[in-house]
Amino acid sequence: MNRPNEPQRGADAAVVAMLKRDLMLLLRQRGDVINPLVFFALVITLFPIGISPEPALLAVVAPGLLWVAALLAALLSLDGLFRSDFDDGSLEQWLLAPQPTALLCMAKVLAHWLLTGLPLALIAPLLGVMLALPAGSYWALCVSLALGTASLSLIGAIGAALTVGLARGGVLLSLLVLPLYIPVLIFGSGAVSAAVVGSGLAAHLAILGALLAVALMLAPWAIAAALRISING
Amino acid sequence: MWAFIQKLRSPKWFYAIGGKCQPWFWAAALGLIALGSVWGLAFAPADYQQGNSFRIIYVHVPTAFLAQSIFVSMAACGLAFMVWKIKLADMAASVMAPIGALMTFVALYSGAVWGVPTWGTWWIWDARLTSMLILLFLYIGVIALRRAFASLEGGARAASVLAMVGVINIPIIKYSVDWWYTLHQPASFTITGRAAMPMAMWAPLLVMVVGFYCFFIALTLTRTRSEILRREGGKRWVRELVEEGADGL
Amino acid sequence: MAFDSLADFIAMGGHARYVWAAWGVTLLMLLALTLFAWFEQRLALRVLRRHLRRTPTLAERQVPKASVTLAQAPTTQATLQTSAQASIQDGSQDSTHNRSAP
Repeated sequence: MNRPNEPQRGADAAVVAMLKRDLMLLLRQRGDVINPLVFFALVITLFPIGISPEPALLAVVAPGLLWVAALLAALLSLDGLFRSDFDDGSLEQWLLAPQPTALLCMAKVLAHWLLTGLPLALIAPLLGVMLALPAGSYWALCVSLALGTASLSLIGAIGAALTVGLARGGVLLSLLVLPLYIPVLIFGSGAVSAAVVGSGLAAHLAILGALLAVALMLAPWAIAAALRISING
Repeated sequence: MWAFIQKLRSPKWFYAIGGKCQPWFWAAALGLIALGSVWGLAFAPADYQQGNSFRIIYVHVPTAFLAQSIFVSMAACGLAFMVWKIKLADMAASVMAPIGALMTFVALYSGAVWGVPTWGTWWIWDARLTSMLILLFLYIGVIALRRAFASLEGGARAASVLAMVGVINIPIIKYSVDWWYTLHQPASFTITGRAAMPMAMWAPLLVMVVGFYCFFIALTLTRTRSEILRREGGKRWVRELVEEGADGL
Repeated sequence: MAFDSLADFIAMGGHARYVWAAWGVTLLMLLALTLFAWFEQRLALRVLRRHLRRTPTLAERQVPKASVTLAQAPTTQATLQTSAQASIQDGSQDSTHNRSAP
């Protein structure tokens, strides 16, 4: 039987509770969910204006442009991942919780991905139409973005955790995280290009999956360590 | 053996031993780099296809090797600092980072310059050069993160975590040529493997690489000792050392 | 020798610009790093010597404190407290003086 001061249920309950809390908080502040999507759309709008509206040219660069814009939109939303919790002190409480911090971090990142990365992946095909993305690659675009943004959320959370305690951490966050994003970008946009060409899609998606697996294994520990460093400051 | 590792924690011991080893590494670096330079510039045969611009390999490869190795050793020092709380490891890591960044920059520059007569272009976005550019950004990130923290301890731990996370990029650099078919030449020089170049060409390269590593060790020893003086200035052994005025440079 | 003359060596078969640019920058970097390390060490020693000259050791600091309390030989609780405060102020003045030295 559980003693009175011990948590009533195990770590899985804590994870679910954290997930529900974060989803609820994010949904309450609709702005935090909508803003990255609008940013994504705006950036995609900028490119034809800045380069050329010619569909043939746009079709060539569309896979990369879509991926870069989605990546930047995801990066933008990362700064607020831990900041509000850091500011009101609840972050410290979770670090003191008996549940493993790495698990709680995973819950937070999952909530972030569900409401940032996944929506980005879902509206990408619409923006692909605007960039004259060739047919047959839309499904690849969705899947690669869904897989890729999961890795981006995990890797980005490490950077967010390292900089959450710093005064102007937002700019430094981009500097730290963007180099680490590049492998995901290479294989993500490569997957869409492969789908356009018609071969090699499976290989690219497999590597994206492998990158996600590595991130899932290693990132939570790095995030937890980084949070402790930021709290102790 | 364990006593040796325990001694490694002591800045005082490192300062003394480092001071003794330092001159040897500086001398070795000077000698090897001078020998390799003269050999590579004047005596090694020119490449059949690239002509004399091939000689840039004798500075490009050592700096590129060092750029990657320094990041790995920085991450290893970070690990030693985080896991075993060896402050000396963090001191070494903090002085290694700018050296590595500079090496990466020079490797990129010499690679770009080499590209002009060879491929007709100042910059090519192949996997090797791109990975080296990413490495430069990683170095800048580690240096910036360490400085962004107000406390020495916080900056040290944050830089260690970032270095360890970044070091996962290094295997991607190493195997990127396999993953991507590009214009950049396949690796023709490995320490253990057979060389694709004739010995008259890769022997001076080996001398240069070893010379550059000796330079790095000598530089790190010197700079770490300066860092020890800066950080441990309040300790009695430092006071005694400085007051007797007989510390070797 | 791979070259026939010094002029040939400098010309590097037409690739002089590239070879000497790359080599020049690399050797310049090595030289700059060496000089930087040397100056850094000299600076560290100089700063340390200056700091140590202005900072008395713990032993040097304790002597005046002891002589003050013995000489005053306080008889009442009040004078005990004021002399203790005076010696604390002396000590803190000493340390603030030290901290103002770069």
